[in-house]
Amino acid sequence: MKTMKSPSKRWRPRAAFTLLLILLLAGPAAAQKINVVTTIPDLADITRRIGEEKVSVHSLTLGVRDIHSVQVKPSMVTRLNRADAVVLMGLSLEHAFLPALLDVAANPRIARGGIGYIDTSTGVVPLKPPKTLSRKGGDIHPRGNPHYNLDPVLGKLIARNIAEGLSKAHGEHRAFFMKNLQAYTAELDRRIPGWQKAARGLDGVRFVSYHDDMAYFAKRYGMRLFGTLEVAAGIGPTPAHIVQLVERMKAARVPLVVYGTYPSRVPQRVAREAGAAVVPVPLYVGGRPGVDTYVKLIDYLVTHLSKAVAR
Amino acid sequence: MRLVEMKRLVLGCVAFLLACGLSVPVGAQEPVDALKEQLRGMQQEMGDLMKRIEELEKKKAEAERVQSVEQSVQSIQESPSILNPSIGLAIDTTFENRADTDGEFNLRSVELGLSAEIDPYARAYTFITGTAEGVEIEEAAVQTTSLPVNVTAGQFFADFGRFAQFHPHELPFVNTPLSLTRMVGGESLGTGVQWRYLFPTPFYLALTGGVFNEIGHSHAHGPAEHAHEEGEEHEEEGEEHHEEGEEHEEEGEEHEEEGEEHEEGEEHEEEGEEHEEGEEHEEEGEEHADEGGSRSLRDLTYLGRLHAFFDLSETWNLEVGSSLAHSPRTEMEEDSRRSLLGVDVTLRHRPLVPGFYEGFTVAGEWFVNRQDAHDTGTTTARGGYAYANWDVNPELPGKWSLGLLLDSAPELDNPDDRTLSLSPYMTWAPSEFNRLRLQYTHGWDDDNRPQYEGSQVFLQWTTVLGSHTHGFRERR
Repeated sequence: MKTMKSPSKRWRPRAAFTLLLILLLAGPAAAQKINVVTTIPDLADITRRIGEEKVSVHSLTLGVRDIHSVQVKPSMVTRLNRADAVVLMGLSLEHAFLPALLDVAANPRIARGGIGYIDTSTGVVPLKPPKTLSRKGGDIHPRGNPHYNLDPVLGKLIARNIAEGLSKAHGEHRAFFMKNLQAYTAELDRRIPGWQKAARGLDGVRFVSYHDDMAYFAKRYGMRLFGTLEVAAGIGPTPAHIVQLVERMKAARVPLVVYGTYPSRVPQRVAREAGAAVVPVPLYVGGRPGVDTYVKLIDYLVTHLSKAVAR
Repeated sequence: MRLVEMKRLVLGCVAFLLACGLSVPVGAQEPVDALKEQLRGMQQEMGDLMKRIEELEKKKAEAERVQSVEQSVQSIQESPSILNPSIGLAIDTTFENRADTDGEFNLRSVELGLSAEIDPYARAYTFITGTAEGVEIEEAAVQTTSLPVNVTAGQFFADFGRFAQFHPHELPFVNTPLSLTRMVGGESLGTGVQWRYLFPTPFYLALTGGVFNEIGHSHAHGPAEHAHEEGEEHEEEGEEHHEEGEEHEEEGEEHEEEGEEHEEGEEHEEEGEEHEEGEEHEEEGEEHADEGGSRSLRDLTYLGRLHAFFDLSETWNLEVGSSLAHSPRTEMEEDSRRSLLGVDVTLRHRPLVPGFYEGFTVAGEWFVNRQDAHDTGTTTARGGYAYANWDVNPELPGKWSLGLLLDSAPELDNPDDRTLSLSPYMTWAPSEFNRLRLQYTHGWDDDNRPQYEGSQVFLQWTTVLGSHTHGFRERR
């Protein structure tokens, strides 16, 4: 004998349908703004300054993470699948995760060469291009050092590339983006001389870095890289390398050791043994507490490194 | 003119002017103050000139650097290999010590991978694998990149479960879990077409559908165990069984009589006959393939997978999936069908601040295999594996991790017979492209087969040459 369905059972399909509808509409509702995905938080901050209320921005990585070993997550595919634009540093900085994600994102807008593919390295003259393309030099970046975000003058170029990139796909907002670009560039222009003045003590200072990720900052303020704790790019420190490095540092009286998104014990020990100051530095926005904008990132680096050297 | 020469010229001019200035007679009318003023002006000009020279030197150095970078980029762009596919080679070698073989060195696989964009709409990749048994094209597939749905066609690892889609050298432990080998055939290799749709949900939710000739080495053929690490033992077993089979044939025993013997519990003979049957059907399968298009829709294998991922926080994430592969009619037997259900769960943690502890993964897959055959009726086998992996940084060179794998693998035709194993392992990767792994495995086999029973030790050395990116499929 057939029995009547209970009310709760009758409601189940309706509830499921409503839920599905909400989920399906969730995407289009959020798509009112230009949906931008950036690889690092620095690019997210600058994109927000250029796009303001016209953009919705998400960074795939956090400033405390090592960009060279980013965990590839399916949630990143979801983000990229719906993105109108992807903003990246280029120079193969994101090679560990972005190409694999773009392969499966099924989004031609942001595919390499697509209208929403914004590579902010356009116009950057890379420092230290490798002399030979061999992994004997470690996990090399074939076109040169990709950590140009730490040079505030190149920060202006990043902002310009983002504004141009967004304008290409959304020409109707071009004037708005360019006005914001002008304002942001003016802000950086106001601050750059101040940073230059504050960083006078860094001129000529030799330093040791965990990875060669301070190259552009060092060049801007006259610092000289003495060596890296890594044996080669992406190849961690070995005891023999550290012993030699400490001896060389002592002989040359190197006053400073810096490290970014790496464990602190080795740099702390090296600095102690070599009699140098040690500074944990943010390499990206969010890399240290309170460093939540690009301007604060450069501020932090200039202030903390100058203080460490002055001591 | 070279900058150094310019400097000399300027200094020479200044010296000459100074000399002229100083040679003015004492009794001249011009006041000394005017001379001093003139001198100051000249000093100022000299300073300005020196500054300009320094600026020019800087600009020149910068221009030279730009030129060298441009030349470097140009040489890369003009390289005849610029449009060639990315090429990578993975070499996987082991030393194994098992109860039945003692110690032996193995070149487990040499895998040549090629991949490139075809055009704005698709990319293609292939993996050509060489093992001790020969060289074969393991994967060769085309994948769309511009459609809203990812379509993949060719021969490739179907989107079934998690580790069935990994090339064995990419696994976090030395060997493919036996449960995966028996249930799926080690890898979910299939020839066919697959499409994946990403739901417009706030979290990652994807649905995969696919149609294949078969999935895995054994999905349509029954429980043939062709995993790399077991190849040789099974060959040996197979030979023994063949011999046994031949003896039976000589004795003129009919199939019905064999059936009686099965009941009497002569397990080895039973296995031998199954292998023979399996091989016959494999041959049939090859014939089918050669004929081309001779399969009916019932002879294909159908795949479905629902896969979700949740970022629980900045440091924790959870991945769950459920897969189903269904063969309406297997080649093993007429009027037989097979369904394989898999459920996989992965929980990961990565701390924000790197230190000794760098991350943790706990994951597992559970399979239910159901075979319906005219003669033997319905057989259901359940099995799976689970593992935990800790990434640590003991301040030694390279990356380190420790793990523990638990595996429970039933025989598909006789699910009460099971092989259990427990494998602690340690991995050391001096670089991203170079990895050593030590694993101890202790096994318990219901049939006391020496290749699964007791203690086994493995040392694995895996290296990658050339182009290498972490594919989305083989993410950790």
